[in-house]
Amino acid sequence: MQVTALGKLTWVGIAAALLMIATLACSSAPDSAGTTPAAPAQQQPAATFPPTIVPPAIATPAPAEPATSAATASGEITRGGHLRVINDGFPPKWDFSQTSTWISLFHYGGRMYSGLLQFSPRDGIEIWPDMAESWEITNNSQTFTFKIDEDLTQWHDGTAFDVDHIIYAINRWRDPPEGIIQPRVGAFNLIDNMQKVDAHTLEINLTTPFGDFIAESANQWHAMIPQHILEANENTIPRWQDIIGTGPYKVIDAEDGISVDSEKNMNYFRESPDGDPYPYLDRVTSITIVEQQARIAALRSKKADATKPNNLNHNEYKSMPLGDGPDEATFDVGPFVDVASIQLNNQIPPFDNIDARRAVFYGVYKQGIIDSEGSENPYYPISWFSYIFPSSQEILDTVPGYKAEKREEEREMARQFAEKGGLTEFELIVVTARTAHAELIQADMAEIGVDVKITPQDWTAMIASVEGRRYQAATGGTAPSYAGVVPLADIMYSEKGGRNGGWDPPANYLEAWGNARTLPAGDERDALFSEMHRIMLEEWVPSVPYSAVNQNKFRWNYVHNWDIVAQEIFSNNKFEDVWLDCGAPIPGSGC
Amino acid sequence: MWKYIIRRLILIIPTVFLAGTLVFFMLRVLPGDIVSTLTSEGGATNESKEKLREELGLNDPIVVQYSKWLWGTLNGNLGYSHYQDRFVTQIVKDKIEATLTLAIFAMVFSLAIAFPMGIISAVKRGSWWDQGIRIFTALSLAVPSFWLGILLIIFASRVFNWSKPVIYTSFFADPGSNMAQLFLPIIATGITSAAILSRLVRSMMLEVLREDYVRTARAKGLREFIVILRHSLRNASIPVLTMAGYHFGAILSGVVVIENVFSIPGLGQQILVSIFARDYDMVVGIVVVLTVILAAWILIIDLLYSVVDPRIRYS
Repeated sequence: MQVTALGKLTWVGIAAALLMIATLACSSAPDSAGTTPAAPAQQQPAATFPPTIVPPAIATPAPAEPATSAATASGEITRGGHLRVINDGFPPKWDFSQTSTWISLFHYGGRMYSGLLQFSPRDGIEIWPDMAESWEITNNSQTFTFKIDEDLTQWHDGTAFDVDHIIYAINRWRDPPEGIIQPRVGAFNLIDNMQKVDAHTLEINLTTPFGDFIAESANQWHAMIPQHILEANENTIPRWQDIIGTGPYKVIDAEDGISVDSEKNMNYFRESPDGDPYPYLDRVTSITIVEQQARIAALRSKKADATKPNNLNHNEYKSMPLGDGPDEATFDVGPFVDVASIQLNNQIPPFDNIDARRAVFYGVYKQGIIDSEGSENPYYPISWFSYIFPSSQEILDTVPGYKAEKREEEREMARQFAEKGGLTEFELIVVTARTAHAELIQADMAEIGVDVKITPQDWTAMIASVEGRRYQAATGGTAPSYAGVVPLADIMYSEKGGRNGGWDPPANYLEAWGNARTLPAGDERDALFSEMHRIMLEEWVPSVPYSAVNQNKFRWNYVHNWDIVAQEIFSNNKFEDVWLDCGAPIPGSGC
Repeated sequence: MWKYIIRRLILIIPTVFLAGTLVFFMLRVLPGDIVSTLTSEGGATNESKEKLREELGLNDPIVVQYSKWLWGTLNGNLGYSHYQDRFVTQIVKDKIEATLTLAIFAMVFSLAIAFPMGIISAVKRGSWWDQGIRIFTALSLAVPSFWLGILLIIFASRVFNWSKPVIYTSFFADPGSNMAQLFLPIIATGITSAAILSRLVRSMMLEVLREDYVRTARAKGLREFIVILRHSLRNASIPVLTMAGYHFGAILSGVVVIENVFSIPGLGQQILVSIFARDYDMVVGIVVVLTVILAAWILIIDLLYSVVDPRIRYS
C-alpha cells in the first residue's frame, strides 16, 4: 500500500506545498496565528452546533461545579503520562496577555495561568470556578464579589499570592504602561473600582450595569500575570523562565518558535470531583509544526500524541494510517467560524449604495465556492453572528447563492441591483490564500456585467487597507464576528472599539443592544436578543454577505476530556482534567 | 596577504550598510506596520494605535528613523523587536546557530555530492553513469527545494514510519539528535547546489583532462586516480570554489522556506514571521547579519584559492 501510494506523492506534494504557502501567507499573527487562520478577538469559547440561544453568561450567585466525566464517575482515570500536542503557530511573546493571537493563551500559556473564572471545557458556555470559587452579583449587575479559593496561596515560583495581584493584573489591562498593548481589554473598561474586601474576597464595581461581566471574567484571554514578575522586568516577560502563573502546569523548558514544555504543578489549588488534586497528567508539551505533512509525519511516527483537534484537513486525515486500529481517532466535521466573507466598504462608492452591496450579495454563487473546496469540506452559510443565534439553517434556506435552481433568478436580481446601484466595477483585496475564491467571485460578477479587479495582499496589508478604509471590497478581517454578542459590541461600538470594516448595523439593532446590555440574563433580555436576531436576519445580513466554514475535527480517542466543541481551539487548554488512557503512545502511570 | 584581508574586511562594512539600507526603505513601502499587526484583532482605538505609533517612533520622519537605525547598528544595536518584545541581537543570537548549522552542512553535502558525481560524469563521459547523473541533476534542478522537503517528509514517514525529532536540539548539545533533525532539510537545501556544482565539476574536469600536463602525467605511468584527484581535480576546483561561494548565498536564502517546512528555529523561520508582522528592526537585523555571513564566506572562499592554486597570491 505504501509503495502504491508513492505514485500519488507528486500531487500530495503539490497540495501540501500550496497549503504551506497559504499557511505562511496568512501567518501574520501566528498563528499564526496564524499561521494561521484569522485569529479572533475577545473570544467567547465554545458553543454547540446548531447554535442555540444561550445567554453569553449566567449571572448566578452559586457557581457551577465542574461537570463530572464518565470516567471520573467510574473511577477509570489514568493519572500521569505525557501529552505532546502539535500546534501550527507559536506565540510571538512570552507575555501572552499582550498578544492578540489565540495560539498564545489557548494553546501555550493557558495551562500555566489562572483566570478569575473559566469557561467549561465541556461546552465552552457554562462558567466554572477558577481563582474565584464563588461569586455574587448585586447592585443591579453592577457589583461583582468574588470569593477567592483559599487553597490558592502561591505562584509557581513560591511567591505568596495576594488578592491585590488580581487587582494589579486587571488594572494593567485597563491602563497599560507606555509601549504596552493590551488588545483584550473587553469589559474591564467598565470597571469603576476594585477593592480587596478581605484576604480572600475581591469586589469589583462597574460604571454601568453589565451582567455579562461574569463572562468576561471567565474569558481565557484574561489570564492573571503576576505583579512581581512584571515589576522585575520593566512590565514585560522577557524569558520563558518568567512564565510564572498559578495554573495546573509549570513551564520547565521552552524553545522559542518551537515548543513549550510543562510539568504538573504539585501545589495546584483546584481539585477533581473525587477530591484528588488536578491535574491528571504529569507533563504537557506544546510543539509548533507549521507544515501539515510534517505534522502528520510526527503523528504517524508517534513523536506526538495529538494535534489541536481542528488542523488536519480531510485528505490528510484519510492519509493517516491509523495502524493501531480504527478506534485510535475519530474524524468529525463541525462548524468553525472562519473567514469566507466579503467586506464591502459602505463609506465610499460604489458600496455606499446598498443596492451595489445587494448586487454582490445576489451575484456571488456561494455554493460554487463551497464546491471548489471539495464536497468533503463543506462550507455552511451562517449568520454574521455565527454561533450566537440559531440562524444557520434559516440562512441556508433564505440566503441567495446556495441553490443552483435559483441561480438564473438571483443573477437577474443581481443585474438589476447593479444597475440600480451603479455598480460596474470594483477592486477586491484578497489575502493570497483566497485568490481562487476571488476568481470565482470575479467570474460571477462578470456574468452580471461587473468588472472585478483582484488585488492580492498579505494579511497585515489587508488589515491596514481595511482599517484605513482604503478599500472597496476585501476578504478576511472578520475577527469580531467570532466573538459573542457582548465582546462583539464592545469591540465594535464601545469607546475603545476596534475596526468594523464597514459593517455598521441598523440603528434599531444598536438600540436593542443598548437596552439588552443593561439587563441581567432572563426573559426580558432574551426578548431583546430575539429582536436583534430578527433585525439581523431581515435587515442587516442582507447587506453584509458572510458565510462560515466548517472545520474538520480530529479527535484522539486515547486523549480524554479534550472535547471537540464548536470553538474548541478556544477552550479547555488548561488540561486540568485531561488524561491519557493506555492506548496513548506515552500512557499514564496506571498502565 | 594581510593587507588584502583587511581591505576586504573593510569593504564588507559598506556592503552590509547598503543591504541594510535597501531593506530598511523597502520595508517601509509595504502597507501596514507593527501596530497594525499588534492590534489586528481589534480592541484598540485609532487614538491608542496612534499613541503606540508615536511611542514606537513610527511617526518620526523616515530620515530620523533611518538615522536611529544607522546609529544603533554602528553601535552594535540592531534594534528592538516589538512583535516579540526582545532585542534583535538577542533573537539573532538564539537563532543563528540553527541556520548556520543547516547552511554549512547543506553546503558540505552539496560539495560532497557534486565532486564525485562531476568526476564520474567526466571520466565516464557518454556512459550510462554519465547519463544517469545527467538525469539526476536535471531532476534536482527542476524540483523546488520546499517541495522536495515535503516529499522527503512524506516518504520517510510512510515508508519508514520515521520523522525527525519534533523538538530541535542544538548541534553542540547533541550532535546525533541535531543530525536526525537536519538530515532531510540538508538534502532538500543542498540538492540544487549539488546539481549545479556537479555540472560545473564535470565540464571543468573535461577541460582539464584534455590538458597536456594530464597526458604527461599519464605517460609517466601515474595511476589514474592520482592523475584525476591530484593533477586534474585540483585545477578544476577553482571555478567550482567560486561558484560554491555564491551558492552559499542561495542556500542561505533557501533556508527561509526549508526552516518553515521542517520547523527549524532559525533565522529563516524568523524572518518570514517578522516580514508578515512588519517587525522592521527584526527583518533589517537579520538581513544585516546574513549579509555579514555571506561576505565573510566569500572572503574565505577567495582565500582558499591560494591554497588550491599556490600560483595565486594576494597583495
